[in-house]
Amino acid sequence: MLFKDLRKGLSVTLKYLFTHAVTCQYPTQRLNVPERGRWLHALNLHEESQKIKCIDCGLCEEVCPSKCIEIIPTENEDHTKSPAIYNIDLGRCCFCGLCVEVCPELAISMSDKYELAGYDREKFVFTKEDLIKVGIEYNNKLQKKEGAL
Amino acid sequence: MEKKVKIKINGKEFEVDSEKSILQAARENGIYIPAICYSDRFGAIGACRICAVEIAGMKKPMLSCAAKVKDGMEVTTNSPALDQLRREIIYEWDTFHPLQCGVCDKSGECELQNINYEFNITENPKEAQTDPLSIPQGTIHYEWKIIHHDANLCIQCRRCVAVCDKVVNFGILALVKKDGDRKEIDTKDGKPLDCEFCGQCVSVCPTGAMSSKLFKYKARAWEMEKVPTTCGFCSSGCQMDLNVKNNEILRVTSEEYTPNMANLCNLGRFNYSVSKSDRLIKDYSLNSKTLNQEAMLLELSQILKNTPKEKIFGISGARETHEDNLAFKMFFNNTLSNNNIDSLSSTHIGKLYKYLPQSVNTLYDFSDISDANLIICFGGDIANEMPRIDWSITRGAKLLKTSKVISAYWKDTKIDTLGSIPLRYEPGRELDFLTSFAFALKSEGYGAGLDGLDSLTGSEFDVSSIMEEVKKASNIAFIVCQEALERSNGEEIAKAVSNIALLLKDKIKVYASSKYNNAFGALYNNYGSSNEFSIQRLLEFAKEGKIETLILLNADLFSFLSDNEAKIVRDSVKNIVLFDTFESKTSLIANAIVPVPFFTSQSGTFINAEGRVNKINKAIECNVPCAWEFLFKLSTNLGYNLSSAKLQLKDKKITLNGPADKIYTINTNSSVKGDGEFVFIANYSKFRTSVYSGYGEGAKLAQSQSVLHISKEDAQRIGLNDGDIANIEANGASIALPVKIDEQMPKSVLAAQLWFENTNPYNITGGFNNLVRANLTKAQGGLK
Repeated sequence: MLFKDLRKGLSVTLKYLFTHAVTCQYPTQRLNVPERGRWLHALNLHEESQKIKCIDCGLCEEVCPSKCIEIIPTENEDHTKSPAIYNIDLGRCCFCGLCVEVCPELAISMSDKYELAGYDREKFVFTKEDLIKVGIEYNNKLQKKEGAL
Repeated sequence: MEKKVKIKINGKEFEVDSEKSILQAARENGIYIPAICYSDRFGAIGACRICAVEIAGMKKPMLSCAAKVKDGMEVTTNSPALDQLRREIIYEWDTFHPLQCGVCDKSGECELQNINYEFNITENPKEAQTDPLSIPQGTIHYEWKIIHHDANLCIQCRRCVAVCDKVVNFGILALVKKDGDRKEIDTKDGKPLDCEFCGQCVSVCPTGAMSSKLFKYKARAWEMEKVPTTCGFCSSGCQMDLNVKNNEILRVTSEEYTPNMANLCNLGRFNYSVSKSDRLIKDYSLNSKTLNQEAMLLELSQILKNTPKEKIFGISGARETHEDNLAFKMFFNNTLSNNNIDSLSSTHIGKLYKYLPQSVNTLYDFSDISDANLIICFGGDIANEMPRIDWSITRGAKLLKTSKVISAYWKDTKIDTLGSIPLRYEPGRELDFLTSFAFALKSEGYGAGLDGLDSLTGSEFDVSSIMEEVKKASNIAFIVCQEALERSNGEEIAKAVSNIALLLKDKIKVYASSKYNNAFGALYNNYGSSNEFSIQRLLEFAKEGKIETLILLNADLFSFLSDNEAKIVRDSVKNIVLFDTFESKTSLIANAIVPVPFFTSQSGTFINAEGRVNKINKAIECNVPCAWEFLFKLSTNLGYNLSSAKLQLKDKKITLNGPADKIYTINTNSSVKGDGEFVFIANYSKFRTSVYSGYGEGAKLAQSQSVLHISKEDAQRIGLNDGDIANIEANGASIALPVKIDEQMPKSVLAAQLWFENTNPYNITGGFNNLVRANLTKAQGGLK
């Protein structure tokens, strides 16, 4: 058969000419990230009291292979323990997710926020307030999603 | 001697002392028996029952901590029955033990966690059978100072009760009945804890039930690095570990294998925050101007060059490291080629070791106190001066029951609760006891053949009650307290003690107490050897204009002189150069200030009252060099190179030089200064060893101010109640102090503690004296 290879090749090309494009036109267009993806951390609050779930047991700090978590605890008025400072240095974080896995209080989880590039190393340090904000936003999003379902 | 017996443990034969318990014998030979409540510090309690072992011929398992070994005994430490028994006990502890390991400070070093892990307990059949609502809520003592107790976490092993009673001899804790059958650890009287706050209970608690408030939620056990060091708060030289995280000391712990058996007092265990006090001196300054190190070196060498060498004087506070202390001596002896130098150890132990003959001046280990047949504690409240000696006495008298105690003092103290033979003299009449004792010894034939025996004369003081014990004893520990030596007639007291030591030569071990952590190091470095200058003559020399430049190394003038005397020194000395760690009243009046790191921030050695050379290790960084480094640089600037090789101490234990055997003639004509109605004594609190020790949280919380101890009778007569302010007047000066009625105080005697910031008792006694006759009035205007 004459031009067998050429015909075969062209047919593939022609097929792709009429199929849907796979390239995502980032940043105008965004992909949905997988549900269990490991992106930016979030600190969660108790739904009723709106108090931070973290009790500073120090397990995430200990388990973190890149030692990027820093917690300074404080004693609350009701003699419970919570973090006064909770910093994650994303410049060091390797997004292994061990902190989430080890957390006994489900206080830390991971959100779907993956755009973490920056111009300043210092801005890679996410504080407790930053992470709580992420948590609130992500949880609201999840709730909306559940509502839609 | 101790008898040896043969026993079989798990089929293996061992030879052990007959005095040992099965648990001790097994541990010595590397056989593990689980035990929660047992500790060598206080012996068997028999509360946890987990150390039970099977003994051939016995129907029931026996507690190995309490059962002594017997010849031919066959012991099994592990069997299915024992395992089941132990599991049952652990299930009981675990039943509704709050699952708050995530926040519990003990987590990670918790013995309950460990034993659960060891037995691989993952579920608890007991808990499944129990109704959660039937579990009573235990008390959580938020109101206690320094120590936190959560009864819910308690497994009732009674370790805290045992340590408080048998080691500290305070006995405030007990297992008391709460509503119903339930029992809880609480104070015996149910009032908020008011004790020595030594935290021994915290250190022995296997769970998080007893914990330190100062450490609460500060860090997890595994996050801290333990830096072994020696305590710098008194001359006991307790070995401890500074637990450091992020360049900050978060708590202090100690291990059972240390010579102090993990025992620490309030200052050692809880006063670590001194190291981050906001009153640390950080900058070099000259006449209130901050300089850098180079400029300071230049300025100081200029000052020293401009002063005639014989007009430069130095005083060491005996609190710095051995290296600093020796460098200071070398700086004077070599660089400045004079010996115008003395240390604060000359105010007390210096007097004693000046006279104590070489043959009896060996420094012995404190553990020998516990082994002595007879312990004579003379001249002070040892529990306030050096808690470690107090624990050694308690161990001998209460726990091992090997020692009898004689306490010679003007007041009943804690050691009198050990069933001691009390000898009470009037304050200031120490010599009556000492001379009578020496005379009685001579009459009994002790010291036969010594020269000068005839010069010994007795007094009316009756010592017959103790002579029987003294004759019986073959091993006597004689403890001389700092308070007695600090009297204005301290030298005579030292001579009288020397006489007694010489008379009892073969069976006496003399110990001296000192609140200054390196006082014995200063003696070892031959401080106080100058024939002309001594610290007692400081004022005289200053007034005569002999001192132009005075260098103070960790010596706060206001901690051994009255405010007035310190002012005289200030006014008559041109330059005061202060090397110190903390701001003090002296740092306010000094011309030049050189910062010195605190003992937690430097490496070196301290020499303790046992003569041991103890290492200290740098735990926290600070950018100030050690005093010896600065002095060496200064010396180089002055044209003399000192060799740092000499600073190294190779010995593990030091010996002191003393005179040849000699019986001293005692001058008993001592007159007490002043003419008031009361006798006022400046003595010590167990919560201070210096003014700066009050900059730490632990000491401050335990006792915030100096208080006036007064007998009930006297207080009523003058109309004083607890907390009222009283004025004490003597020598034309007066001090105001809050009153504390103390039932143990004799009539017409007042006592206040030194080194508190609210007052300086030396103002009325005068420096180098701690006893004065004074008048007492109630302050007008009531409470301040």
